[in-house]
Amino acid sequence: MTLQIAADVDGRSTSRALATAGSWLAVVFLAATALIVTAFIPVTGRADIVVGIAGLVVTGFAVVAALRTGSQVRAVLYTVAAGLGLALYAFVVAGVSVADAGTAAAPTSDFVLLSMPEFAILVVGIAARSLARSLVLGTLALLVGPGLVQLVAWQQGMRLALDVPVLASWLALVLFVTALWIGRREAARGTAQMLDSALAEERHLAEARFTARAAAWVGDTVLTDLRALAATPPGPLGDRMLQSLDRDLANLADTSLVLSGPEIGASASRSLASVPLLVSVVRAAEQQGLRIRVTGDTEVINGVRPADARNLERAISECLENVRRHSGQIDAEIAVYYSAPEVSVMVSDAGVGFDVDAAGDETVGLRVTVVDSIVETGGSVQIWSRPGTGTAVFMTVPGAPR
Amino acid sequence: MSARTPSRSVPLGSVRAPRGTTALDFDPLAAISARGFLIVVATVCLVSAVALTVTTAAQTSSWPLAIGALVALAAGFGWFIRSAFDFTVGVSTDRFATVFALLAVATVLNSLGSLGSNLLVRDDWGLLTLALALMAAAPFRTAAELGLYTGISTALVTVLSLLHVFFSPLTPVPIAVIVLVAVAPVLALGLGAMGYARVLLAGIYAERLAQAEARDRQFDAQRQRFIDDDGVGSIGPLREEVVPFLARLRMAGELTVDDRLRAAELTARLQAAVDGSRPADSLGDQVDVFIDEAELSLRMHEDDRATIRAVLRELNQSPRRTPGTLVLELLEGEEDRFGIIRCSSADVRSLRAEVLPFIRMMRLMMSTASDEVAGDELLLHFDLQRLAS
Repeated sequence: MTLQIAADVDGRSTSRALATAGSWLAVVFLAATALIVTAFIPVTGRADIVVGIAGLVVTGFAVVAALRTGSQVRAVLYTVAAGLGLALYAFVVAGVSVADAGTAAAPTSDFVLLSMPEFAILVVGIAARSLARSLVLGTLALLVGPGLVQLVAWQQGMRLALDVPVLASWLALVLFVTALWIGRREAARGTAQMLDSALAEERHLAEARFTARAAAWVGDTVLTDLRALAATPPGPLGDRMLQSLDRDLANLADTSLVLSGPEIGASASRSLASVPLLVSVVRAAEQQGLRIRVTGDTEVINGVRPADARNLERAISECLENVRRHSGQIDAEIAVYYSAPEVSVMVSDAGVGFDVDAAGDETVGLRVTVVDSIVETGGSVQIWSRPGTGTAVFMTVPGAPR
Repeated sequence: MSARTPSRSVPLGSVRAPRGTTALDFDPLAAISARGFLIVVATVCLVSAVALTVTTAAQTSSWPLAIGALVALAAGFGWFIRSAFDFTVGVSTDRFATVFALLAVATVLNSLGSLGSNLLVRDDWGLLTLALALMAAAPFRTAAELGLYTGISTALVTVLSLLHVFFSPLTPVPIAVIVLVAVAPVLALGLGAMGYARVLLAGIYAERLAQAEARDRQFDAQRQRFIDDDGVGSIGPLREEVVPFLARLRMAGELTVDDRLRAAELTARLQAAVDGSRPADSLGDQVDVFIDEAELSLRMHEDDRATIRAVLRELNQSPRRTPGTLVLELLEGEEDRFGIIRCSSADVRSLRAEVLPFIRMMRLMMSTASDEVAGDELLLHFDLQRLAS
C-alpha cells in the first residue's frame, strides 16, 4: 500500500504458508513412522510391511495435495484418499502386531505406530480459505483417518482404546484454526480499510503535487510574461517577448510538458519497495523536506546482516540529517555499490561543505554516529568535504547479494 | 487499483526478502491474528501440562521439579505474550531467546521430574510445548532463527529421551524408536514453523512489490487524468481569458495601451487564483468538525494520515455514531503535538467494540495512541511524533 505496509488482504499468502507448514508436519510424522516400521521388517520377517509403507506414501501425497488445492471438492477427495492409504497401513501393521504378539499381548489400537501417522492426516484442513471449510475438512480427516484406523485395528483383532493424544490434537487444531481465522477476519477488515485510506492519501498527495506544480509553472511563466507586458511601453513586441509568448502558448496547448520532469515524479522511496532499509530512511528524509536521488545496485543492501543493516540505516539517516541541517541544499544522492565481499553506500550533496580536519561540534553527529555505527559492523567510513564543494560520506559494510 | 484485489504481477519465486526480516515487519496488522493464535497455543500448552502432570502423577519422581517445570512454562508463555503485546519492541530476537530458554528449562525440569519412573516419553508435555511454542513463534521470528531453535530442541529432546532410556525400567522397545517418537513432534512443528515463516514472508514481500507497482500505475493514471481534465488550464482565467489574450498579442505582434491595462488586470486575477489554488486538506472531509489551528495536518507523515483516515472512515460508517459529533482536533503544545478524535454515541461501549480493531491498528502504527470512554463520548488520543519541519 502507500505506506510501508504490505497486506495479505485475501489470505492467499497465509493459506500458502499454512499449507507448507502442514506439509512439513505431515511428512515428518509419516517419515518417522515409515522409518520405525521399516526397522520391523527384518525383526518380524514380514515383507508385507512394505505394502503398509506404500499406504503411508499415498497418505503423504494425498495430504500434501489436499493442503495445496484450492478446490474444496478435490480437498475432500484427497482427504478420503489419505484416509484410505492410512487404513491400508493400519491393516498391515495391526495385522503384523497381532500375529506377532498374539491377541492378548498385542498393543491396543492407540499404540504409537498407529497414532503417529494419524497426526499427519489431521492437518488437511488448516490451509482452507474459510473457517467452515477448514473445520469440515479437519473433521472429515478425523473420521476417515483415526476413525477408520480404529475400525481396521478392531477388525484385525486388536483391543480398542481411545486415542487421547490424537483426539486432543484434533481439538487443539480446531482451536488453533478458529483463533487464526477470528484474528485474520479482524485484521483483514482493518487492512482493507487501511488500504483504501492509504490509496486516498496517495491520491490526495498526488493531486496536491500536480496542483502545486501547475501553480508554480503559471507563476514562473505566464504571470511573469503578463507582468512584463503590463510594464512594456505600447508598440511592437520584441523577439524575446514573442518567444516567451510562443513557449507559454505551446505549453498551454499541451500541458503534459508542464507535468513532466523529476520534481513531479514519484518520491524516491516509491521505487525502493524492494529495499526496506532505504525506504525507511529515504521516506523519513523526504518527510523532512529533502529530495533524494538513489542510484546503483540498491538491492545488494538486502544481503547485509540484520545487525549491520541496522547500523547502516542509522549511519545513512545521520548523513541525510547532516545534509538537511548543514549543507544549505535540499538535494542529496545515495549511491549503492557492491564489490565482493563488501557493500558500499555513498551519501553526497553539493552543499556548502566543511573542512574535515578543522570541523567543530556541528559534525560530531557525523563523526560519532556514522563512524561508530559502521566501524561496529567491521566496515569503514571515509568523509570527503571542503568548503564550497559539497560533502560525500563513503561507507562500507560486509555483505553479499542474495 | 482496488484495495481488495491487489495486483499479483510479482511472481513469488522471483523475490527474496531482506535478511533478518519477518512477515510482521511488512504487515504489522497481521500481529492481531498472530497474537490471538499465541494466546490459544499458550492456553493449550498450560492446560495440557497441568492435565498431563495430574493424570501421570504416578510417574512423577520429584514434585518440586514437576512444579518448577509448570512455573517455568507459565513464565515462558507469559513473557512471550507480554512481548507480543508490546507495541514498541515486540517479540525481538533477544526476547524470544528468553522465552525459548524458559520453555527449554520447563522441558528439562518436566523430564527430570519423572526420571527413573517414566513409562512413556510421549507423555512428557515438555516436548509438546516446546514444539508448539516454535509454531506460535512462526509469525514473529525469521525462518533461520526458527531453524536454529528447532535444531536445539531436537538435540535437547534426544538427550532427554536417552536419559530416560538409561534411567527407566528396561523396555523391549529399541532406543532409536524411543528417540524418534520423542523427536518427531518437535521436528514436525519446528520444520512446519520454518516453512510457514519463509513462505509467508515471501508472499507478503511479493505483495509489497506488487502494490508498489500498482501505486506507480495509479500515480501515472492520475497524472494523465489531471492533464486530460486540463488541471493547469483551470487555474483562474488562464484558459478562457489569458490564452486568447496572449494568442491575439502573438498574432498582432504589437502592444496597445488597452493591452497593457488588460495584462495588468489579468496578472492580478491570475495571481489571486494561483495563491488560492492550494488544495483543501481531505482529512477534514472525513469529520463533522476539523480543528487544526497550527496546520499540523499537511505536515503529518503519510502513514499517520492514512491511519487516522482509516479510523475516521470506520467511525463515519458506524450506525452507532451520533450524527454531527465526529471531531478531529490537532493541537500543538509547548513541547509536543498531538491529536484527539471524539465521537459520541448512545451506546458508546458498543461503538468502541466495533472500532476496536482500528484502535489496535492505531496503536500499531502510532505507538502512543490510546482510547478512553468519557460519558457518551469515545476519545482517541495520539501523539504526532513524525512531522515535517
